[in-house]
Amino acid sequence: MTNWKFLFDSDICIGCAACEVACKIENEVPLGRRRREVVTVEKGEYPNVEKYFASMACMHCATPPCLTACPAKAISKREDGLVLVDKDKCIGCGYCAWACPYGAPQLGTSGETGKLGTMDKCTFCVQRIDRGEKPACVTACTTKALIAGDASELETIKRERAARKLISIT
Amino acid sequence: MEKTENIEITAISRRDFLKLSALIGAAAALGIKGSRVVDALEATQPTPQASSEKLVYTVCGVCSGGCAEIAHVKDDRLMYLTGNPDDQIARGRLCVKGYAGRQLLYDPDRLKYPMKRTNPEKGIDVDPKWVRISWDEALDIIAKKFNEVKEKYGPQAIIFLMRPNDFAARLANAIGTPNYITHMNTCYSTHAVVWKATVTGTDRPWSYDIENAKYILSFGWDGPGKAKNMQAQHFINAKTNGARIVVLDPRQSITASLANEWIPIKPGTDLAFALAMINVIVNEELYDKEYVSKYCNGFDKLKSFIQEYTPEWAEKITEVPASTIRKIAREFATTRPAIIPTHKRDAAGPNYANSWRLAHAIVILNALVGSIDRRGGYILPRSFAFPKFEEAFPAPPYPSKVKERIDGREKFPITDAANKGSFPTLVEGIISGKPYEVKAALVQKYNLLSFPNPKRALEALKKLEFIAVIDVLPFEMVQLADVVLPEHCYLEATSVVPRTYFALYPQVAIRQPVVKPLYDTKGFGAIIPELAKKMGLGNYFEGVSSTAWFEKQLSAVGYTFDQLKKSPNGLLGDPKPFVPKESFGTPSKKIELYSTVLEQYGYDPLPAWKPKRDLPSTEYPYYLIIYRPPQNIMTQTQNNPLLTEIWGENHALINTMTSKKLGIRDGEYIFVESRAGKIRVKAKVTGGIRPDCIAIDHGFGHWSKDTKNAYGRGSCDGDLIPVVTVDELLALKDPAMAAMMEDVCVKVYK
Repeated sequence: MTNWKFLFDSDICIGCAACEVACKIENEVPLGRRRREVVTVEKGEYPNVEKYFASMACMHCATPPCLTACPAKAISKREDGLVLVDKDKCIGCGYCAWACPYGAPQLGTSGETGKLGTMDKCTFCVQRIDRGEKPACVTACTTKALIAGDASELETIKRERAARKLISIT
Repeated sequence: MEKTENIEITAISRRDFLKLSALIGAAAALGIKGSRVVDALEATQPTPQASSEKLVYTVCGVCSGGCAEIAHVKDDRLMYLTGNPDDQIARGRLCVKGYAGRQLLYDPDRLKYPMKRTNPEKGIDVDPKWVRISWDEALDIIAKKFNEVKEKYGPQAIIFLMRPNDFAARLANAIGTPNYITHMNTCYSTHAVVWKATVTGTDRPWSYDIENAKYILSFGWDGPGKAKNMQAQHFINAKTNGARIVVLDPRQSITASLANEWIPIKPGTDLAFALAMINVIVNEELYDKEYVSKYCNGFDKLKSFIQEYTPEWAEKITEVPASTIRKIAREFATTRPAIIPTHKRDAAGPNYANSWRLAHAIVILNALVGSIDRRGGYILPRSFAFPKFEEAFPAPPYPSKVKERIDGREKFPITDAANKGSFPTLVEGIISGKPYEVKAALVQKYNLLSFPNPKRALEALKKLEFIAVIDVLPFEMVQLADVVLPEHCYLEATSVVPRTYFALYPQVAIRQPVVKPLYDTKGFGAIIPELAKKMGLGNYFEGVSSTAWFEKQLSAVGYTFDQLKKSPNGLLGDPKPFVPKESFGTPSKKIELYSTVLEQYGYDPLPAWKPKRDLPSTEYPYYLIIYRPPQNIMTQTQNNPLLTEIWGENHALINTMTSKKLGIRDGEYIFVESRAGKIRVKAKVTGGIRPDCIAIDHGFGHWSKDTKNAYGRGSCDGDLIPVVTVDELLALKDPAMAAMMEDVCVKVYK
């Protein structure tokens, strides 16, 4: 069984937010709701300043704090790793948002992606996964800074990238 | 299922072959370990996901890059767009704006039918009081008015304001007006003129083999920061393969933030840096001796010319230590392949009075390290030998034209040969009525906010008796129109698109409608012949149509239009091994480091140092920098809520120390004022900019209330840019007649 994970590499992210746009289009996420968001982080002072981007969304944790926190038992984890929310069970209390270390749960007032005020977040494009495709954000990423795959596959890719860099430098 | 797999396998092996064939020659010569990091991931052609899903091969129209793309269509509705994996440019991906392009198709604010204005008053906040009319009536009104103007004032009183287009150029010729005006001197005329004079004899190249470079030096080039699909992919592949990247930019661009080294150079001094680099490379004999002796002319003249431009001299101008300049010169010359990519509005674009000189210095530097038409460097055009439009469709004799143009372009002979134009001098020409009065305009997809000082451009355009605008969205130019003709959005249009932004071998892509046109719109290629007919100039368009033109182009190279339409991946053109060019388009057939063409027309044949025009003063103490956010292209995409949600308005970037000095807090509204005008924008405090600079992102300040999402977002950076006259440009002896789009200083206050 696949254990689906995202891998994000800030070394090669250009901060364009193609991932966000693809997510919005694929999942018809209404404006104002951001299942994925590219965040800019600036460090240091002029001229020794560094700027990084991070594409932030649900990490589909192995032991999701949101799942543990949810009093309505609306959050579940599939065997293939996807963490999903059942909007019919969700009571919109927002405890999941407190528990999540990444700010993934979105609690808008609009009901366009489900019941009014219920929690909304990245579904790993479950509809695409179930038909054998990767999430929209990943297939859109212009520089392949954001990828998705089985955890072990991602580890291999990460190692290959690191190795290539080491070899180029030496 | 098996069949699907076979298709995918074919796609993979074809791509691998492409990759191999492209890299073999270079790899052998340069020791490149041909590799793209995650190239194998998802590099296959997609297959329809359900029986109801249809894949339509087409070409993105967001920028001129021409990424081939695949539309995923269900029940005659476009679901989403992906990049075409077999395209040399797109490589299976698009940029953020390309993906969001779907929204343009379904934008509720689109122009849906022809309209005429019933309120004669024009201007900001003036309702044109549109009335829907038929195509027939719309074209009748335009034809009648154009013929009246032609009769009364002469054909030169009609101007064409649009990008180069063969159909429109023929109509302009048939009318007899010399005034076909494009936006080149606000965009890339500096590069175009210099490349033409020193290397190509035609235009500039748009293909950069950045991913095979081992050293990338940017003079403000920010392809990744503009999210340019092919440039971003190449840059990231080069970076992952360990290329060293150095960026000179007063602002920490996204490219700079991804680089090994960011050098916040003083604006408009890049030329001094480049000259000092040439000095080091020439004097320390670090250049590619074989390439220079075989393919370059004028090295001896360059050598004596460059002696005065030492790194110590450049240090005083650039504020970059001489030791740093030396180090970068040595690294650049010895870490090959090395490239200095330049693209449109970077430091060598028409931003400063000395930008064309920098463009020349950059050609010289690339040539000194053997990076012109070599792998890892600039790739000169490799396109099919399509016939010229005028040869494919011989025209009856054209009427004679007056020589003088309203934008004065004929006074700049090197730009004159190609189909170029000048926005600021057009504006001054209309306002002054010199050399003559112009009265009517046919405009296609040019926005008023793209002009330097759009308020002055507005005054000029209000002076015209009649304006017809062909467009997709009702932005500001449409608000000034007397008649509006709605054009297909690019996702509803048909054309044959050569590969230019990255082409190692000739290849064309088909653009075709992904769904049936949603509204009562037409394609540009249909509008122009119909207008000609109505004007009584139909004899110039006999047998001329878009389809006939596509057939003529493709049949000249052994294909048919039908073949392209039926191509399983929307492309035609087989991969060919890369054969480096041995001769160039100059009088000597070599790269002319010392340009005899520039000399012949009375311009500096070598890029002698000259400063930028405006320097900080007590009144205007800060340099102005204009940059582009990844999510916007010019003034075209701000009505797209998918994009404005990410980047919703523009800001003035201000250095942390400067903000403290001025008491400006992050996020508060400030005024930025130049000698041309002032704007109100939010401040964004950052460490990523020089303390003596203010940077503003371009594209905002829309005032058309018919583009509801764009309306009222941010301010227009153009309001800060002074308009330049023909006389000023002649005095500067700039062959590119650069509009100097950033050569101005500002003050900031609350």
